[in-house]
Amino acid sequence: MLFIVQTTLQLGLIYGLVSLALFVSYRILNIADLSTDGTFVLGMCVSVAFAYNGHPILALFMAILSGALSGTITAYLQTYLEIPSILAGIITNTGLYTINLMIMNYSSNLALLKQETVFSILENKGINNSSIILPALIFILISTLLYLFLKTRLGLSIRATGDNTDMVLASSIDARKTTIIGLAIANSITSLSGGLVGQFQRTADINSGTGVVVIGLACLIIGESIISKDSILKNILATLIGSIIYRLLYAIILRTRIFPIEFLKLITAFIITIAIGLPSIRKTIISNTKEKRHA
Amino acid sequence: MLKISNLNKYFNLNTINEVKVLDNINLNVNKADFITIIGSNGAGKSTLFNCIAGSILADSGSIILDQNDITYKKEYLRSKMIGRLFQNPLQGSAPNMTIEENLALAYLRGDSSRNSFSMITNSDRLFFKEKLKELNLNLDNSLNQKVGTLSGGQRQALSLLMATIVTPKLLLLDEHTAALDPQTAKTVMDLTDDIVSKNKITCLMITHNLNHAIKYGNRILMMEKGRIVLDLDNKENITIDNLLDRFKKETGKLLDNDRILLSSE
Ligand SMILES: Nc1ncnc2c1ncn2[C@@H]1O[C@H](COP(=O)(O)OP(=O)(O)OP(=O)(O)O)[C@@H](O)[C@H]1O
Ligand SMILES: [Mg+2]
Repeated sequence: MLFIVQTTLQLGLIYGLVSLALFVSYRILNIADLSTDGTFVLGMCVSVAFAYNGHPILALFMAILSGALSGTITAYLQTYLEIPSILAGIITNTGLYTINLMIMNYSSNLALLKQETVFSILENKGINNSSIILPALIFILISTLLYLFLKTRLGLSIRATGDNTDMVLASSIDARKTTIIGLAIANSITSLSGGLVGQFQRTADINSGTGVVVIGLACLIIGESIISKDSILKNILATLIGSIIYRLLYAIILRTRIFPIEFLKLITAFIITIAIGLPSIRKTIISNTKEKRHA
Repeated sequence: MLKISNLNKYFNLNTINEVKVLDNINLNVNKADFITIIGSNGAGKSTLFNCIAGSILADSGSIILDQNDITYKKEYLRSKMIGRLFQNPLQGSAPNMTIEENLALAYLRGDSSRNSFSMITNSDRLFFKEKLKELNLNLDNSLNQKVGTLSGGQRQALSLLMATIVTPKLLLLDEHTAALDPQTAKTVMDLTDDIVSKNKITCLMITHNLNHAIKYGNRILMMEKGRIVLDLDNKENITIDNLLDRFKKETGKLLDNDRILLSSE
């Protein structure tokens, strides 16, 4: 039981950052950012590489920076080269695979031996449960900063860019700039998540990003279905709650082995299909029944 | 104020589908002019606005706004000086943001003294309330309402407020009441007239409503096939009938617009 609660909170908080990032790209900017998987691994590789060389704290900042850079590139592809957003994300994602290997010296993984991590530093200072407390503090810090930022002049411009493109194009907002800043922010949050996961697991793996974007979206949607999404604060809360619920299911399945944990990705795919497709399904059913009644 | 010289615009230049949409347009707009523009479908009215605002670039000629050559300036930079309203009331505001946030976006545009990280202050809110009250649409206590929940007329009125909350050097109205029912159209039109004359805004308005074209503004332009065929001082006693007559005399055909309104109300 305790194990389940612990894993749920650890992973829910750390991966909650990915959902928070997707809230920015998918909900605010209205862009399905498929570079998310690669950016997550990028953050992980950068973070573990710096920790490997004895700089676990700097590692997290570098992870954030690397994500911002990656998001900027994806956004440039979309705005200046006018590559469709989905394709832009895939291009960055593909390129990142090599970059990530390079960071790990062309090996498919990099493990920490006795090096310190941000978690072990806290444990050594006598703080128990650092793997919950640290992610919680980071989530609170990042979401507070994001919340405040979205209320600033720049934040409002970014929100408008995703909300009404026509309006923004005819306004004094430079839609290219806001898209770039928005995606840089989203991806820096994603790579921070990857960076934390890397140090938490004490290893970075080139394949650990598979499905991150889909799971993150599923969490976002689960959260939104529980909390109404009529204010930024609730939106942010929804990302965390969705992520925690998802990780609870994950932990229960992992513990009880009702079915092999590998099944979870298939189930996730189902969850997200149903959640996003539900409005259309509902519409079809309603129009069908109306048609029948009419006939 | 606004000086357009020898402006030309082709679509599909150098292809078999080449069309000349603006044909050597010359126009001098004085400060505080309120000009109405009428013309057949496809005459090039919206294209002229698009060239002035920068959503499309002219092929040749020049556009000078208040001594700045803006012919090839980026659209978002021109928007600091030019306010725009479109036919579609949904185009001018962000539906998932609140009234206050939409107004803040519009308001911050002209104020370069604030940095990117400034937020809406309480004095901003008081100012917005004041402005909303002037619209007379009972929106002054709905600062936190999402814009997506407003009616078409309310949204167009809000867009008007957003376009003028920082007084623009030029206001471009492209059939901005055409999608509204007659009563709402009248309300929005009266508001427009009120705001434009109170702030002495230089304004160009495309309309298919001949009555509006005569009733508002001080100058009437008629466009046909990319050219300005008539430029009337709206002080003479113009009626819809002699407007139609003069159009026919200039172009040899009837004014043909699918949305034309000839009614006198
Ligand atoms: N992007 C484009 N590509 C090709 N042709 C275009 C384009 N935009 C407009 N046109 C053509 O240019 C001509 C002028 O169009 P415009 O929209 O300026 O007319 P308008 O005077 O605003 O007409 P309406 O009264 O119907 O709004 C039309 O023949 C139109 O088909
Ligand atoms: Mg038009």
